[in-house]
Amino acid sequence: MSGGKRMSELEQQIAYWYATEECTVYQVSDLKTEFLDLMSLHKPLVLDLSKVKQFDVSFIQLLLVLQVQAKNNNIQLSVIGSSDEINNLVESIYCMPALNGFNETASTPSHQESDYVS
Amino acid sequence: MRPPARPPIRRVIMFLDENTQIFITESNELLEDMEAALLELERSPNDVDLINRVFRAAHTIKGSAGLFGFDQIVEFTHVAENLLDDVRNCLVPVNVDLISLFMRVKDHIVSLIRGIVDGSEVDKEENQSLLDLLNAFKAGSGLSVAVTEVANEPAEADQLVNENTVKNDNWYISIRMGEDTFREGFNPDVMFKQLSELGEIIKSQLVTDVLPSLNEVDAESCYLGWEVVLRTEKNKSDISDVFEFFDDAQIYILSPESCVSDYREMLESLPDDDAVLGQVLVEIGALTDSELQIALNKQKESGGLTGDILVEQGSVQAEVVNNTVERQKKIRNEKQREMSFVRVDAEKLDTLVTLVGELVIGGAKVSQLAAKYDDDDLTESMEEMMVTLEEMRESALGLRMVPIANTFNRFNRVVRDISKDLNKKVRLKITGGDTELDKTVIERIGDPLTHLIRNSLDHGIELPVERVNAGKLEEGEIHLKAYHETGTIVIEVNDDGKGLDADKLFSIAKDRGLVKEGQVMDKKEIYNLIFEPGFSTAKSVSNISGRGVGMDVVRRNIESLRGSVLVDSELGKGLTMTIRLPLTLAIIDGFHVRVSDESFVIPLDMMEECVTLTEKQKQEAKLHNYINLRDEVLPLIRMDDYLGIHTNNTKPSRMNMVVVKFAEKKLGLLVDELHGEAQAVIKPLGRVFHGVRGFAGFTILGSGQLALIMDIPDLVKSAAQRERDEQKEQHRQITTNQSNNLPLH
Repeated sequence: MSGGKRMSELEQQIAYWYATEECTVYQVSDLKTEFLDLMSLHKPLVLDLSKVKQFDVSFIQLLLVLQVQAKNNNIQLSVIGSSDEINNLVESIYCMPALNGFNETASTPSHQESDYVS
Repeated sequence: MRPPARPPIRRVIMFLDENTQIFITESNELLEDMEAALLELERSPNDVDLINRVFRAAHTIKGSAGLFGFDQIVEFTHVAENLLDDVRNCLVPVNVDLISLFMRVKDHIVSLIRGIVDGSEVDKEENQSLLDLLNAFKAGSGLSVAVTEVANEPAEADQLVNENTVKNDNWYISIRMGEDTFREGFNPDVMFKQLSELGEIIKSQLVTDVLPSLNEVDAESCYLGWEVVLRTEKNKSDISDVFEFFDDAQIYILSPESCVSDYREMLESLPDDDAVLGQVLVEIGALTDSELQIALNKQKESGGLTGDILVEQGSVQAEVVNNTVERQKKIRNEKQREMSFVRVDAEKLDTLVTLVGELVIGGAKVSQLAAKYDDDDLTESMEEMMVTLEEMRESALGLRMVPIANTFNRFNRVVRDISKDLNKKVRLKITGGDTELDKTVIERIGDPLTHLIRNSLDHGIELPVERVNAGKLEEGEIHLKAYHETGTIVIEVNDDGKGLDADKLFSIAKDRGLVKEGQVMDKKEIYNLIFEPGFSTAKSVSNISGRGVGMDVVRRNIESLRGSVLVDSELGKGLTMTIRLPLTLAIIDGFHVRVSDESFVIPLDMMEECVTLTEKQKQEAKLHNYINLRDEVLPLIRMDDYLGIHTNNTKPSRMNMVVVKFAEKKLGLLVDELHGEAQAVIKPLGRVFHGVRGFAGFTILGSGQLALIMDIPDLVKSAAQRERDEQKEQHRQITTNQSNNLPLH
């Protein structure tokens, strides 16, 4: 399901969030809660979407809300590992750069298993 | 034995049912409108509305003719309509040749329709010639002329191009997803895929203005919206289908500007239904049902006009809404007008007026009887009834009154065609078109007016170069004017041409023996010589006028309507023909008088006053044909002398004078007794009395007695003639006396 794993001590400066395989309208309410928690940390946030297999526009919408929230709260947000499919959708529908383009400064621990920061 | 075949004319007339008559009447009205629009179009060749008016007339006639199976009209108007369609699409420019062609087309359709009525043969040569011309214009043969003309007017040409060129082909789609989109399992990306299949998405802008914060967001609800620019050949309905399943989404699809002219065309081709704006916009494809529904919901919530809401929400261009609103307004007005009018057979009206006339006579009889029985109740009831009867008479006569505008408007074409033939520039100005005249008068005034206008065009208005040399505007003006004046209708035909030369007229009149040697005439009298038979000053006879057989016929026609015509002019400045006509030919308010033993009626609207003469005046009246009335010399007619009806009875003769006035001239009529006002139903004098002058008809009085109705214009004219004769006689006597007193050598 949703969530990620607690980050290692060394990585405490950055919050990581690992998306699970399914990110559709059935999960978005829970994801919202997780994102709220992440935002409350006031740390740069890295979203790893590499495992996402199923998603819909509700998920993209939530990412958009999150992006706005992060910007408003001065929290750096990066997305990594997003598939071409997600990128295309974001590009074509949102007319935004691909989600990977969000990543400006964060490192890309793409294969790491991260903790969900609560 | 087979019965002989009936001639076609009878057969056709026999089958003229009510619907066919409606078709004929309406087609003729449309053709009149077509002609009016063509004349305006000649002055404003870029006016799209005028082109549409001409097209609409042809289109409607074709459609209606098809319903009745008048194939020849359908085939002909179809070709005309095709060319008009090209004109509407700016493929064929409007120019003088095109206007002239459509004038001929209009005339030909009139003759085709006339063929239905009287079974007359179609002019096949004209039919073919026009079809050839229409096709030639459509193929572009008329283009060279047109291009030159347009090139002379660069500003207007540019405007036309701008108005009709495609400004852009992009559709603007505004999408606001419904809240439950995700919950209902719809994905907006499907929508985008389908839009891409329709054409090219030029631009897509995400709208996030209603996106809540992370705290507030209901992650399962959809808050997204887009502004999309799509280029596609598809229509609004196809685009709208993409959003078919997004029930609660708000979708506004604004057509490309290039579609505005398409919508205008579609509007024109719709039947004249007074549907509401939204329905019409949906019907022409400018609006989708869902857009309309949203607008109507908004209207329900906050009021406002549908059109404004639709434009505000970006569903349709303001221009399209305005065009539609204008069209619907026009249709509604027309429908309202149609609803407030009833077409009635003119014969039925005439019968009604005759019956009312009989009622008036009957009423007068009963009224006299009531007075005889001296019964107060009966008299009072009779008075009430007579008041109602008078109102009824006025209403019945009002039914026959028709505005003169239609007759006047016909002259636009006459002036256009003749001035072109004569290489003159002439403008027709019309005022007082709403002045109403008796239907019979309207029907019979057309020919005399045509003659007067033709004369003005041919002899009055100068050639452009002559006008400029005379310090006038290059373009001449003929002013056709109608107005009411003391119980009569006055129609003036005025032109600013060269006017009449009194000296020249007088000398011609002398040459032709129309005036005697030594006869003295003032200018107005000389001018009015043009109404004498055989009088013409034209140097050459043209096909327009100049045969000298017209003006006397004009006067006779007008006089047969109990009217008069006078001419006034100023050399070099122009000429004015003034026609005076009675308001009605059926029933008049009269004044009952007695001369000797006979009763007469004087039309009340020509009466000035009644005067009982003093002894001194009586003496004066016996000696002279005039009287001093308040220091004014008033010509007199002693009616008993004039009519030759003296009596030996002992009835007292108070010698009363009725002062009448016509065309600014006053006259005193000496009568024996004044009986007072009486409504008179004018009945024509029989053929036997055809040559009798001074009477306009007769009427039956309440007593059952017959009374002749005095023809005041004729009496005034007689008095003037008598005065001239007296002057002549005096002149002759003086000359004779002088010659008798000459010393003998």
